[in-house]
Amino acid sequence: MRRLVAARRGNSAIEFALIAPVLFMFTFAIIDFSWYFLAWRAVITSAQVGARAGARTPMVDGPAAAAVSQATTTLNNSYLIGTPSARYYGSIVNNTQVRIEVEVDFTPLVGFVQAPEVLYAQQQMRVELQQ
Amino acid sequence: MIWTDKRQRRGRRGSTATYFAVMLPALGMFSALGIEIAYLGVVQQQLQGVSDAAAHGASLVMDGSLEGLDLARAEAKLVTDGSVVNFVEFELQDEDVIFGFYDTETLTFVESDDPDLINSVKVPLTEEDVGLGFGMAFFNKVFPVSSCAAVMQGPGNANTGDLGGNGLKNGHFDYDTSIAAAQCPGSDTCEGTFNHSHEFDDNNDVTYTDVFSDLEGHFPIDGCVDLTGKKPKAGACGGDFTRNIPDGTPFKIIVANADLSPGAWITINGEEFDVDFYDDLAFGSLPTYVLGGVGANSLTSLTVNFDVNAIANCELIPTQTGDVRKNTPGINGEWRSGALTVQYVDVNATTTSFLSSGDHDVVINEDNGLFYEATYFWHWDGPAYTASDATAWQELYDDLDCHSARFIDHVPGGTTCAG
Repeated sequence: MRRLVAARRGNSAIEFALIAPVLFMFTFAIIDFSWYFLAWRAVITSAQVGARAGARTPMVDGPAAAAVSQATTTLNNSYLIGTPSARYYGSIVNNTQVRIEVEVDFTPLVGFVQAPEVLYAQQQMRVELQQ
Repeated sequence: MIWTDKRQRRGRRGSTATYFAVMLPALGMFSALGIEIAYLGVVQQQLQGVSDAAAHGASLVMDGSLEGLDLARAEAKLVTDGSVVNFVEFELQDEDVIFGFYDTETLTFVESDDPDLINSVKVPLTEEDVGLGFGMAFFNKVFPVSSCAAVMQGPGNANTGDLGGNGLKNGHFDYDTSIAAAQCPGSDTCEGTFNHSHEFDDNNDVTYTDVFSDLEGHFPIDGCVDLTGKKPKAGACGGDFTRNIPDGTPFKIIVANADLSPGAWITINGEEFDVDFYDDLAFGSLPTYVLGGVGANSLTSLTVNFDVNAIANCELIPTQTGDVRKNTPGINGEWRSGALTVQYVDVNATTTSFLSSGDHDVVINEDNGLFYEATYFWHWDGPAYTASDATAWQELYDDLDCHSARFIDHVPGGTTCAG
């Protein structure tokens, strides 16, 4: 028994075993949070870029479709798959605004952090060429 | 010595776990800091989206009137209605929308309430507009959340000197007339009698030209040369229009290069025609007019009109006076460097598609039946619309973000947003 108490072999392994769960917890949290914020910002970016593309597209060419197309491309470039949708809204002096909404089903990389299941962003802009 | 080492080593048992336990709070705090900063980044991006949409929307609505500024503010609010920042629906305030004059030469923004001067709008927002919680407010001291977008109407014009806000917005047009046309493209010595009126719209605070008013000498002609290059006597430059079309002589009106300047329309005897439409009419189907007398074909009024935002919307071609005067071909071979051209020609004139590039044929000189010619173009500070300057012209014109609002600053505290 005395020998067992005096034994130093495996000391580091025991300490590691004690610390590892906490370390892994932090590591997984960092991974999850990083991916979460990265994806969230990508969703916001796709909405903003899409709205800008829609705003620059003449009404006759369909700003909503242009907004959705650009937002989808931006999402895909971020390795995200979502369902952007766009609608028209009335503007001052009887003109039109285009609003794009982007929803992405979010899957955490590790799943340690409880993140929202859906990431959402919206952006609305006035269509520049109303005719 | 060996004994000491053993004791020291024995004393270190569990030291890693102890160190870790001590460091754990610090590790947690730094992790929290990272998460907060990442979230502040998200809030910042959301806030920038609000600034962008608001400034963009407002810039497209303001129209040079006080009422237009109110409408612009309303548009800014409307376009940001429903925007979510920091999980709260954002509400834009009147004071968040700031109007001013953006000087494209000094790249500075000067706040103004004078609708004649205003050509830009900016929307700066800070954490005070968001309402961060205590924790984030603390981190915000280190990493402040703020956004700003400054947007200028239309393409702007580094050359304009359009401070007075007269005439067209964001620039001016030059109005040149000739009675002999350019018979020798590319030569300074073949200009014919040529009247040049720089900044016609600004100087006269109009958005149109009126050939009959020209006859009354209302508009200053600040450049006038005859065939020999000598400056004619005072008064000789005006009145070309009727001097070269004797009363009773039938003539037709030709419009050329309209596709390059679709922001114009021509009003003949009170009837409006898009220049594009008039340009597309075949010579044989053009109506015949006479000066003087009465009757359906008597020309009693003729104005060439421009939308006040024709330059801002890139619906008036930018080029250089010298090339229009010398009749340097446009990028695609257009007559008079692509300037919008209105010709008054004999009914039996010989037209040619030379240098007309798909537009209406033109009459190239007096011998072919040209009586009088007027050209209109945005005189900008950039390159000419010619083949030799084609690349530079195209790049600059594209860079001006034509037909749209032009974002001039996105950076909180940047040159414009800080002004």
